[in-house]
Parts: sequence; structure tokens; C-alpha cells
Amino acid sequence: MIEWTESWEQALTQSGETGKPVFLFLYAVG
Amino acid sequence: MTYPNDEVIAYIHQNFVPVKLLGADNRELTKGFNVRWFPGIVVAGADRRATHVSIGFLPPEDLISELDFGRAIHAMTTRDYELANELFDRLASTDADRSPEATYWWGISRMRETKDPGAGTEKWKLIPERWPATQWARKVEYALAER
Repeated sequence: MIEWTESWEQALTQSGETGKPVFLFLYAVG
Repeated sequence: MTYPNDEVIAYIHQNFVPVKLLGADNRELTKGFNVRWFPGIVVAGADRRATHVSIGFLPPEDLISELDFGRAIHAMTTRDYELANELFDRLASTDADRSPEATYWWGISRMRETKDPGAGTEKWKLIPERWPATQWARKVEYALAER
């Protein structure tokens, strides 16, 4: 299972801290 | 199904900060990244700019190529040219759908890194040799003809 970051803003912050890009998965249904 | 694949999961954890959002609850993001169908996969930097957008599910090998491409553009943008060269080289060495486009951007990355247009055209020469029937070969035709 992928351990997803909780929010877009949190992902951006972590990206800035780690230098890794964000992988954003936008989906239609669960 | 791509995401239950162990290789893809390990690859994403190693190389990205992953976030999963419902499109209907995040219309500004879907609009901003021009995601018109789901799933929409976006590679973005901390500056909120996308380095790659892909629509739809893909088998593991294709997905990893798409994500390598997004990482390569991100590395070029953040001036991590060592990583950019490694990723572009990997993509250019395969026959992924994204390979000719990646080689085009490898040339641009090399020009940015070295400030030498010749370093870019050296990579661009690979495109008509390996993928002559693509738009990427036609895009570099003029630059190669000048030399």
C-alpha cells in the first residue's frame, strides 16, 4: 500500500524539505 | 491494476511525496493542472508547477517511464543536472512512448547545464536516428540542418 500524505499543502512542504517532487493522484471515485 | 504492484509502490515511495485527492473536492487543482479525466497523475515541484501530467491508468512499466520523465524535468528545473542526465539517459536508452520527447528535453537540459548549444544538439541527433517517424524528429530537423 502507498502511504499517502494527508494534504496537498503538506505534500508541497515535504517536497520542499526533501527535494523530491510530489506525485499527485487525482481520482474520481474511491 | 497498477498501484497494487510492489515495484511501483517502492518506486513511488523512494522518489516522490505521494498525495491522493478526490478530484470533485479539489476542482482548483484539477483545473490548474488541466486534468479533464480521471485518474489524473501530476508530478509537481514544491513551487506548485507541474513537470508532467498523465491521464488514465497505465501498466507498471509505462507508468514508471512517465514518472521518470516527470522526475527528469523536475531535476532539470531544480538544476540537479546529475540526476536529470541519469534519468534522461535511462529514458533515451529504452523504447518507451516518452523516449523521443525525453531525448528532446535532454538536449535542452544539457544546453541549460553547459550553456553550450552544441551539447544540446549532440543529444538531439539521437532522435532522427532512433525515432525518425516522430514529431520530435521533425522538431529538431531545423537545428540539425543548420550545423
